[in-house]
Amino acid sequence: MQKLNRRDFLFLLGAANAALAMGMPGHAFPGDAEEQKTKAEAAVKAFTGGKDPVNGSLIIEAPDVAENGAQVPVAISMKGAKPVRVALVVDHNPVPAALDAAISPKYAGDAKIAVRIKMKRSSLVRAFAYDEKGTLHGASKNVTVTLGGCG
Amino acid sequence: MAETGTAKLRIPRMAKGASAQAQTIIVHPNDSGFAKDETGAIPPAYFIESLTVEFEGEVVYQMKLGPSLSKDPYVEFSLAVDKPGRLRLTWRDNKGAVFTREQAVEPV
Repeated sequence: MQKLNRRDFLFLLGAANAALAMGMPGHAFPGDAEEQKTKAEAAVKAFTGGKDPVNGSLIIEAPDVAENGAQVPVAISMKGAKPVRVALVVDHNPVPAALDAAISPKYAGDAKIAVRIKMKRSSLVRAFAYDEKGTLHGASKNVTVTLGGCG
Repeated sequence: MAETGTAKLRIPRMAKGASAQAQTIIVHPNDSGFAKDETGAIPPAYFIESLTVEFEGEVVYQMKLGPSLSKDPYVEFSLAVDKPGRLRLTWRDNKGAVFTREQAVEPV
């Protein structure tokens, strides 16, 4: 049997670690990327109807780097307008649609919503909202996950 | 560990009509149906799929939640009331179990 050189060993170690962090088979490999993208886009379209959102008013707060993918805080709020419906999509999770909230402004105050999500791996996290005039707003954030939370 | 469906609800001291963040956590495994547990098995999807927040019988938030929410889902939401009343939270999981939690809100 051929001896492993250092580079190969490190590569295998990395792969094993990645597999361990995922804790599940088959994900995060190129063959799945297209399917995952389709799932994420379907979740977005279900909310937006295919419209392009306006950026600038909706605010998404999430860490740049999440050490623990099992508990990633994400907050969605809005400046200058009141949201009446808000959605959150985690592109690389098995079920990208994380939240879809209808809001009645009367008692909702600032209408800021925050949740903690599981993240399987680093991903774009996208928020969308309709304001009272029916305008679609969007905001997104890339979150790097060091240890996957097996979404 | 506390029983599944037990909810914690924290409402901060509120000024009349001013917005404040209420926080809630419900004890629930919230299994996505995709992740392995400690034994290596993949438990089937078992998660909270909706949360309704009502104040004095009027719906304030009607949320559909996906299996991406963490174990023991945490949800925080704004609230602004100008009168005392009952805040009622209703959670429902994908197996049809319904959990409710009520608390008085007394703005000062």
